[in-house]
Amino acid sequence: MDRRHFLHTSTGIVATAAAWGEAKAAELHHPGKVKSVIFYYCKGGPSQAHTFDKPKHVSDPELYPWNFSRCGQSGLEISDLFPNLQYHADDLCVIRSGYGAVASHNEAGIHMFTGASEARASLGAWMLHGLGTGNPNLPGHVLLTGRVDGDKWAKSDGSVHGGARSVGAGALPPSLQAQLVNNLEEPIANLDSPFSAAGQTQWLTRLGAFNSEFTRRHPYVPALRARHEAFLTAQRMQSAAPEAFNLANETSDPAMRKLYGLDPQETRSTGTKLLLARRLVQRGVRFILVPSVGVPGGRGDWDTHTPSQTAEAIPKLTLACDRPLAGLITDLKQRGLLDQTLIVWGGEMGRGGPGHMNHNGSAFTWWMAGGGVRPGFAYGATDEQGFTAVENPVHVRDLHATILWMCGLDYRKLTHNGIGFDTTCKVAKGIIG
Amino acid sequence: MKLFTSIAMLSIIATAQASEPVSFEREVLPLLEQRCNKCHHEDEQSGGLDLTRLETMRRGGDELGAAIVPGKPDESSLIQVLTGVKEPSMPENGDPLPTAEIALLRRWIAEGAKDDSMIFPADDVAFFEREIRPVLAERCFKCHAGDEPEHGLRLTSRQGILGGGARGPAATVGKPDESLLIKAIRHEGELQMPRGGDNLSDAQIVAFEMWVAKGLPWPADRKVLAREKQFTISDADRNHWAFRRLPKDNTQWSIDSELQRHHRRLGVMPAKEARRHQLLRRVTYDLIGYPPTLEEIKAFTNDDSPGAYEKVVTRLLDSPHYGWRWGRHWMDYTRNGSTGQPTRGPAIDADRYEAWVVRCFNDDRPWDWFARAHIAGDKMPAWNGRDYSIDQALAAVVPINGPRTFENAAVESFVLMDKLDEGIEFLGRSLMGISLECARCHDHKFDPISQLDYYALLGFFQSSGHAPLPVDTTSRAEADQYALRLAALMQEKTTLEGRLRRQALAASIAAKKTRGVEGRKYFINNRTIEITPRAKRLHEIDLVLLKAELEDAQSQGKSRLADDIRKAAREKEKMLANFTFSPLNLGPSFDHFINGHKSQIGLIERAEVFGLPELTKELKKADVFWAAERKLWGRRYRFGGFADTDPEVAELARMDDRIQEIAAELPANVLRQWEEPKPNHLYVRTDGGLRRAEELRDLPRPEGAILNANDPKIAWLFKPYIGDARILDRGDVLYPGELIPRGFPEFFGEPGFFGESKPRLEGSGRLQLANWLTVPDSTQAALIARTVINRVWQKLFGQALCRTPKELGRLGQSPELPEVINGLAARFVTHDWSVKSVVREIVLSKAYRRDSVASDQHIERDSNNHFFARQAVRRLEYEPIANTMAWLVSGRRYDSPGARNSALPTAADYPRHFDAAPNVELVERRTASITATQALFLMNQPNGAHGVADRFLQRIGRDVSIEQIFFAIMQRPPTNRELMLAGEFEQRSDFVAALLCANETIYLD
Repeated sequence: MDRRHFLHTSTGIVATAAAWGEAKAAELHHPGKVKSVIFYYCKGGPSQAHTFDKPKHVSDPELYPWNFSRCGQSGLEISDLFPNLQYHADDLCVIRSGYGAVASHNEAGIHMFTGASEARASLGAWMLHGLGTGNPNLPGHVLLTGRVDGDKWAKSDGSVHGGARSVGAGALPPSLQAQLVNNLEEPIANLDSPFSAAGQTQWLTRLGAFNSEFTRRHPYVPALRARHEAFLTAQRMQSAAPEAFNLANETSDPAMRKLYGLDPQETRSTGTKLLLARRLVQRGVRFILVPSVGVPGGRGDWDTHTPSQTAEAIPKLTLACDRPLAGLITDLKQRGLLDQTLIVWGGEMGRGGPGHMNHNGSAFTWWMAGGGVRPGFAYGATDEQGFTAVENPVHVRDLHATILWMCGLDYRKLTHNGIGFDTTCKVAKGIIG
Repeated sequence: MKLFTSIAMLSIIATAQASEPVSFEREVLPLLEQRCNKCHHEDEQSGGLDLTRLETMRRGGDELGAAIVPGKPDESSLIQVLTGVKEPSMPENGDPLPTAEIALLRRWIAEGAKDDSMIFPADDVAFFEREIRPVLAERCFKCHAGDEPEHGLRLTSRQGILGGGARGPAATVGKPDESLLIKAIRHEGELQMPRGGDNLSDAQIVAFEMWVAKGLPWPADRKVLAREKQFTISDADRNHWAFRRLPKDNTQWSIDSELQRHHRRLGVMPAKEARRHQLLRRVTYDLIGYPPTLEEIKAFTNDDSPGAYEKVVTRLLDSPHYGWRWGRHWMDYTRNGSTGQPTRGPAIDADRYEAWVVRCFNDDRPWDWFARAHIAGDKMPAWNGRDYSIDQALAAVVPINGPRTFENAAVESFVLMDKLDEGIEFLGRSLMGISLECARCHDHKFDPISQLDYYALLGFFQSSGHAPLPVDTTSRAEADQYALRLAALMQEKTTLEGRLRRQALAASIAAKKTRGVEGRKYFINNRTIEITPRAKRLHEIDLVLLKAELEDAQSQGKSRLADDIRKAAREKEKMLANFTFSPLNLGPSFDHFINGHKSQIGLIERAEVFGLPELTKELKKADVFWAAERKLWGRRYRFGGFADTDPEVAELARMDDRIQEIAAELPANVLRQWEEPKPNHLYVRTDGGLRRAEELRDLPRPEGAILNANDPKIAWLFKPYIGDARILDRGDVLYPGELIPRGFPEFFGEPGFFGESKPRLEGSGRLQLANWLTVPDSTQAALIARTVINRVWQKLFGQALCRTPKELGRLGQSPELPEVINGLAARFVTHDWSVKSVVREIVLSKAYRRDSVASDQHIERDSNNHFFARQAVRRLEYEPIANTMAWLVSGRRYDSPGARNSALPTAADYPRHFDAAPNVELVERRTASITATQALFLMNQPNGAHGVADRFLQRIGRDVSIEQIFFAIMQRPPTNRELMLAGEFEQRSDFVAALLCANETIYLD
């Protein structure tokens, strides 16, 4: 039996497939393919012009030192900084006409993930709210950061601009906010209870009894109930999380090591997180946000403001994610999960100005793969210099609406306690295959 | 009727077919410019819509989709809003467009919305940008732009010029001599421009002639230039609630009388006063961040006197912990938190600053003084009356204590600019409660702050720097002298470095005469011969180890690994057979080879693994040798291949000695300002900032600086800059404009304050800025007072009166109760800016003392509690939670977070689980996240709730009563049901742990 075949029929997959059945399929607004999203977030606002949107005209060619190649059957143009993703050109749907981002980092992060400037519900929270949990024993919305033990290359764990507010639940139930993982050796800490299982259940019941009076006194304070529920979720996580986050079986497999780039310094941490993300997807986690790690030298993120920063940081940043992302696509495909999993690559804004070294809210590029997007396709375009989205422009909120649409959720019908999703948006149906 | 319609339709179509296609450039653009571009311009983009370019029209705005759908006028939202089919109908505040104009637009869209405008060669456009556009903007737009241009002539677009005004077209393509514009600037006829006698230069006139001759080239992507928008201050600005002066303090006024009015109006019944325990708990946590002790609870519940509560409040305000609690609230606005990133700068001593803030709060130093100290603490007399205070000088650096990196601030203008921008952001957001930083790129879109205002303020910051001063500096003269000396030393050091490098190179070349080869080469050649055998020996050892490793792999049956090793060994043998050593190999990788690095295992470790003590010993000796060797090479290279004792380089050696001397004297590496200075030194504020790197071209080059090791520019940067900042076009450092004199925003301008003339600035002028900030009865002082009141209220009620505490300007939310802010602010200022007096007034109010239970009526009439008919249920912040746990463990209240944390088991976990303030931003609101990980931490971490419970019981005694436990943790007696529940636990510590996890423990109600 070849490896690929084996993976398809192994019991692990069957078990998780059963867990999917619990999704609230009946409540979908229309048939949707996407069950999970893995969002690789490029912190700092990646330059579209150096990655996936080759400018038609540049006035300072020396500020654009990397070539683009037409790749795959589709001939999609991708920077040579992504040799591995170039092989997957026919899987990618590149959206070159993103606009409506905010041009200062923290606000941009909040805006990119919530579509708003204040503490509103984030995309992941809406998705989890709409689809319901895919696994009640695991957090459905995860912010996956951290470095593997011994990674001395990456300079930071990775984080999202705007912090907790970018992955918050806004007015939705607080339990929908992202669960932060920042230690890959111990992704979820404190899973060992000092009690026996029955002892803990009894203890929690009594805690509930202590809480009940206070909760009854304040029926209009939802946080109180949510906090007690968090304790119950925590108990369930104790059994589910160790299995879900245990990579031992995966990392001992040389094929997996190679696929995700777990050996080279530059890709170890990113590869491990994307591999972990795949495991979580298999177990019904809805939204996993993986921010780029800091790379050595300079400020180390995608916020490249000078020629020297651009020349130094971009090759390292692309190196860190190219192999792991390509591996993730291959892996999901082999397991038959690519159709129900949407991979997104993008930052909180785009770049513009000379050498694409300034912040830019009027044009940014995201790409997506899987989840039924139109593969090998470039949607929209920017102007001559690549500063403004002009053809089929897609607003930040449109991207949210579109992703939710692919999940089978209609943004106009998503509500909670009378508060709905921002409806000043449209679904970019052109990117749905 | 039907017939009539179709006839009408036919005739429209007939005309359409008969006439020429509509021209985008000549007909559509001028129409749009006249009617729509005021709001829908690239710089304005009301609703996200830009109607100056075809691309952006097709893209549309944020809401209605494409403005233009080629071929489909009825589906084009532009037409829909102009004809009123869709809301909002346009133009927003004006008469509908004439039918003929709408018909023109319809026709153009029906014809496919073609863009027939000229596209010019890039060179010609560049010519326009360089020669013409600045002149147009500077000399013409004042009259010939905007809503009502002089004689109807707009010079902001090509079509406007060609279309002309009342006197006909202003230019004829290709024919300068026939063009009115050219005639006017030549002063040939009756019409002479620009008016007022200040003519264009001959060169400018020639440029205009060439431009018309070329056909008026114009950039395709910017068809309508930004008109010189006149910055105006409107009545709406003046009447904005936060921008008015404060009323006089009305002694009759009170919070409760104000709120009562609103409650009557809304018909809500305010909640009753909270129960006594509840109130004591609330006020104690709010004022000092710790729970009340059993004694305090008893004393208060047994005190029936009318002034019992006032007594408690007085006691709490006098407590030293008040300063820690309230100082922290301010610290949230200083980017001083518990989580953050490393390379921010300068490295200010956050602990020392915090201790100072706490002192200020405990002493109740007036807020206006406190605010001034953050701008010019180094230039103000010390609080105790002395001449200088190092703590105040430290406080004055806080504005630039931000997340933006400090690396390269000395060489890259944009880094410097971003850093300075943080100072403005702090001044605006933290102190004044408005968004001054928005005006970096353009006039503020909402508030009366112009771009000029921004750069006038920026000058104060650009003229200021920071230096590592000795902590025992006690006089300003001493501080100034020290800072000057540091700058002089830096200057000297860089100059010497440059000279040394140049002379070393010269000496190396000169050696050719005597030695036949260059000095450096000579050294390299000779030395290489000497050390090659030693290098070879290392590789021989490597081979020995490889063989041992091979054997080991074979014995364990790891065939693949064995293959790899065998291959490596074979290569090594080949290498040894023909061994050469290049000095290039002497870099860090050579050290890694011996000592290992990251994933590489070094020779020493490998020898140790195989238990080869002889080899290990030999390798360790070799390591010492090679370390010295590397140093030797560095040294020799520095002296052109000579030893520093050689007579040829005697002068160089002296220079080098001086460099080392300076390095030893400098208290910090000024190029790495995010690193801490030497002990007993602090980075504090001083006058004299960095110059923009580009401006250095004009400075004389210090001798030798051209050969500086890092960057020649750095050498010049250490001449401290005191002067004005340049305005930046769109805030971009690549486009600096003229110098803007330092000064204060026009809106707040107090012409009388500094006399009629401009203020006389001393040094950077920060002292004048600080004084301006709190001029009595001024608008800016009123704004600062309101900002404080709003935030104090927020901390005591869980939500601010103006719910955007960093933005009281017109961009922020309007408060429902501006009268409360104004009333309290007026009193605050009258009471000498005493924060304690405001806190006291609020906590003594009935509003503060109310119960937090919401009635159905409350929810129905004021669900968000914007009128405070009840108190709020609030989660405690990180600090009081950590305080409580530490207090339960030890029974003590701590004098600093550090002391507390050393008593609190697993203290490092608390900031993460309970949402401490991040140090990368100005934090206006703490989050209260609810996560399963927080629950896991409390439940399962051995030092979490269980650990605290154990230690608490150990301290207080295992046989303590359930009632006492309730008093310690929830500060109230248990109910009967709770007594019963408590009895069910087999283990007392499990019961205590459950109480610690209960909601009531970390929520105030």
